[in-house]
Amino acid sequence: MPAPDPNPSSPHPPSGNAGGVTVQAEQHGDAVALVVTGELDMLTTPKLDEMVTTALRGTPPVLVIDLTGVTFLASAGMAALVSAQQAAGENTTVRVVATGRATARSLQVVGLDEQLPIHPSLDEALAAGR
Amino acid sequence: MCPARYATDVPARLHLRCAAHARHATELRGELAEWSRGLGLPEQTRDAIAIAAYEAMANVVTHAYPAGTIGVLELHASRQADGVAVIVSDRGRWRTPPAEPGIRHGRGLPLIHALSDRAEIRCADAGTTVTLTWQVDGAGGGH
Repeated sequence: MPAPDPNPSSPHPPSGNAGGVTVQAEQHGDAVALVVTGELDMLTTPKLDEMVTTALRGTPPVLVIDLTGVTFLASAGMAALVSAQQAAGENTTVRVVATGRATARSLQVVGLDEQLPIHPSLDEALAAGR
Repeated sequence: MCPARYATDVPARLHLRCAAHARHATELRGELAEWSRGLGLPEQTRDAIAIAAYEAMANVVTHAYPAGTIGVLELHASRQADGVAVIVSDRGRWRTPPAEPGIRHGRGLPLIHALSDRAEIRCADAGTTVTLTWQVDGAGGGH
């Protein structure tokens, strides 16, 4: 399986435009990282859902969703993370990178930090054991 | 057409009304963020306001009106003596969330309650009003 299509539906560069999101798929060995930049609300989350679905088609052993560049995380975006974990099943481990004030606190508030493996950086998420 | 501006006499208050569409909730969130920046609120309070208010607006967009109808989404933010009040209202009907909302739902209300200092949801025949308040004392403090 080739690397997932890198973000076919986002003609805009990740420029911090309000209301926009960019999801970039990266291949790291066997693992796939989805690097999310911008705002994850109910308007933009379908883009992440779509990229997760595409990435999981290749059944990578590890799928990292990197929220380092996310400036706003709504419950819709959190739902996408949980859905990704459910859709991944037993063959793919889903990990989340969240450090910023815009993401980490909200994930804790709803207890997702206990449901999902959350790492401080993409490198650490990729290096974590399988 | 949207958002309709009723008052933006920063720093006192912000009053906007829109059709209850997801894209308008995003627009109103942007306006609210700009307003709270103008007030010089602490960063953490501004983040909390943006998320809690957005979740309240998302509830209006998703739940307040029957499918196929276009309802009203209203946002009112005001500077109080001891903090900030944000009111999100609709003309629709509040629906009690199901006990088992499923994995994609059920996180909006916990976020609203956890990120605001006080959250009050008032349901009436005329619609639902969510009132969120944050205490802000002087330059620092806040949530």
